[in-house]
Amino acid sequence: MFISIDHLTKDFRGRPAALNDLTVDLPQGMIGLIGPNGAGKTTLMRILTGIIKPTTGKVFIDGQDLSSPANRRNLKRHLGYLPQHITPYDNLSPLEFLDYIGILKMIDNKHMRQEQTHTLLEQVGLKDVMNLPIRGLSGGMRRRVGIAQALMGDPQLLVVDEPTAGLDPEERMRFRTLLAQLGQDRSVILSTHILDDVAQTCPWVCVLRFGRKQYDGPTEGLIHEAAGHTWITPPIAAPPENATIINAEPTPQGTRYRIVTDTPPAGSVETAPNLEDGYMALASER
Amino acid sequence: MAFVGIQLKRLYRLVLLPFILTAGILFVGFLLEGIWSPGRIRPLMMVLTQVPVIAAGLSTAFVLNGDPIIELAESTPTGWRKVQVTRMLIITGAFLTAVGLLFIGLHMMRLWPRDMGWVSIISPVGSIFIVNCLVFLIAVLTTSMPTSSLAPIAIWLFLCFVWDPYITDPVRQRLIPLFIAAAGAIFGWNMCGDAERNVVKVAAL
Amino acid sequence: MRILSLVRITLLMFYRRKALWMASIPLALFALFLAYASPMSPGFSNIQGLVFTGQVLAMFTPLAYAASFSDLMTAGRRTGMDELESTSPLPMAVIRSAHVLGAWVICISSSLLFLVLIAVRQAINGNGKAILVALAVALVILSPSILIAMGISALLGALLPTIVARILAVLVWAWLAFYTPLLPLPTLNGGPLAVIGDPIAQGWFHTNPMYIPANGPFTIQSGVISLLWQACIIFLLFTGANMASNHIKVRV
Repeated sequence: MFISIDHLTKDFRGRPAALNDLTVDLPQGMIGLIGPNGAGKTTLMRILTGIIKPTTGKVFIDGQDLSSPANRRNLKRHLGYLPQHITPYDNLSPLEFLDYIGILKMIDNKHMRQEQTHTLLEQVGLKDVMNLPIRGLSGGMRRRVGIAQALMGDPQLLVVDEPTAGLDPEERMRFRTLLAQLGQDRSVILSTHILDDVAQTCPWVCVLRFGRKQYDGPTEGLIHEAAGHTWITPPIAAPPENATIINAEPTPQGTRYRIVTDTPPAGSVETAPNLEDGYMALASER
Repeated sequence: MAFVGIQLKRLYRLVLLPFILTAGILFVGFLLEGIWSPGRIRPLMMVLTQVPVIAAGLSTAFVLNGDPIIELAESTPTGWRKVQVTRMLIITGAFLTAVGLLFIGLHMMRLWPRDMGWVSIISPVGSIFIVNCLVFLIAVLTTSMPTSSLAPIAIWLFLCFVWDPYITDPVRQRLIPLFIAAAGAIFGWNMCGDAERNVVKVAAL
Repeated sequence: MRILSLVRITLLMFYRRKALWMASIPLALFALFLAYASPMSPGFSNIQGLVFTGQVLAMFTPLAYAASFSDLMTAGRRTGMDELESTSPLPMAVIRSAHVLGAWVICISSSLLFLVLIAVRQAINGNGKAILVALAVALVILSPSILIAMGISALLGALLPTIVARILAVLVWAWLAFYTPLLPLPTLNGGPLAVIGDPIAQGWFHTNPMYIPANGPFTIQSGVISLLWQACIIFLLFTGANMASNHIKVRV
């Protein structure tokens, strides 16, 4: 699915604009949506999923204008959505909950619904607990129920908000792989603060800040923003000034910093940038 | 004191509620006093004076449920029980004071229904105490807002339609259920002291 | 078919809500006790008794439902389920209707069970129509009352803070059910717009009404008007609650 966002603005009464004249084209495949808190990521995802309407501007999905109720309804038939904060009905079992979501997604054939439910619960590793009430499951397991529900109905557009928050490393990697597989033949919009997830799975990335687009293009391009500006300092006592610190590694001689800057301290060694460096380099440009 | 202050700050709207209700009912009484005879106003007051009892129970159910930081409170020296009991006492205290004022006002206007003198104050005060003690017990037992919200209605219905019409002596009418409610509250107080139970009941495993 | 599947799942959700059972069973028993002990009671041994019991159930049990359904339309906002359900191609009104139906089935079931038990006893004693009457009473007297109380609660819950909504909903129901026309203040009781089944009870089942009708005995037509009026209120209350809830969601 090709998503075209045209001069999109969303105002909430009494608050700064959540989205401010955003224009961006998102190709098919895995797209990472990143940005600081309050950048407008969740608002954009809610507009893309047809939950809220923009104040001005338009969204086209495969050329279909989402301002038309019929197009929105049609989109919802091919949509999978995982909100950031979701507590599934906790007195249902994962099996029953997915069945409920299947009904909401208009999968009328009961046999088909059950088959999908079982397959998805197996994919997210919940087969053993599928008949227990969700109330008794751990936080990570509940998140996996959320992930499984987003995949019900084999959606062509998958919008996932912080999907790996609360998952253990093993599950996170498993879900990342699953998303990458899904992204081969459909659109997946992944909003996350875990840049490693984006680096590993998304060939395309969009960075939002204050409701505006700060970057939109290949992930490599964002990494490249920090090329020639990423350094490892020698062990020093105080953090370097005029630099964005990416991480700090304590050593017996002092702390060694990974920084993004144009003016590194003496003795620093230039290193190959990664997505975190690129993102921070972009952030320091604003 | 600071602890009570911070709870009061959090609950001040609910603390104001009984006084607003009292002022409203007294105003209605004052307004009607010049228009209707006391015999016609009293049945209306019989209905209106039940409002604070229901409101007290529902408010107590509201403040005793749905707090997301039970685990956090249990990890401090204060503990969850002190938080709950303080909240209940604040709400109960506010409603008791307000209903006391309501009684005084209506008694002096000779509008209190079934007025048997100053001893009749035990009726509204006792009702609120009984309802709130039992709501506290149910909130501790179930940690469920819907169940706790239904409890005051059930208790009020019992008092209003089953107990009060048959036990007419104001002291006996209130003292017997009051003892039962107090015993329930003590049981709830004991149970609320079990930190493990409090945390396991609400926290995700 | 789809709506039935949806109702089946929501029924399961409400069936597992212990609070509803803990409220509805004792309240129904309590109402039964009042229906039996009331000086107006015709007893449990005839059709009049069955209708009277249905009316007492219709007056008392909704008090609890008025207090407990203030989050019927808004609970999903807290859990994020609202957001998820909004992405379904099914209209939110359909999804919420299924939730209302699921809750209603659970709310009415304990009262219905007791009514049917009384009717079975009457049937054993030779009153062949009793079971049909019990079902009819549940459908035309009890159901509208329960749905109206739930609707008031849901609408106020969508418009006001939860605690205020709960208190107000109980008061509104108390006014609707218990306010006697003998007092010189407006009330629906005693007229064809009463929501506790008086016009239907007297007009269709020929029993004595709870409140003396202001303009002569209720007729069959009064019963029809009453039922249509209650259906309108139910529709308006839930539509209002749905709209208010959507409006607030958009603001958030």
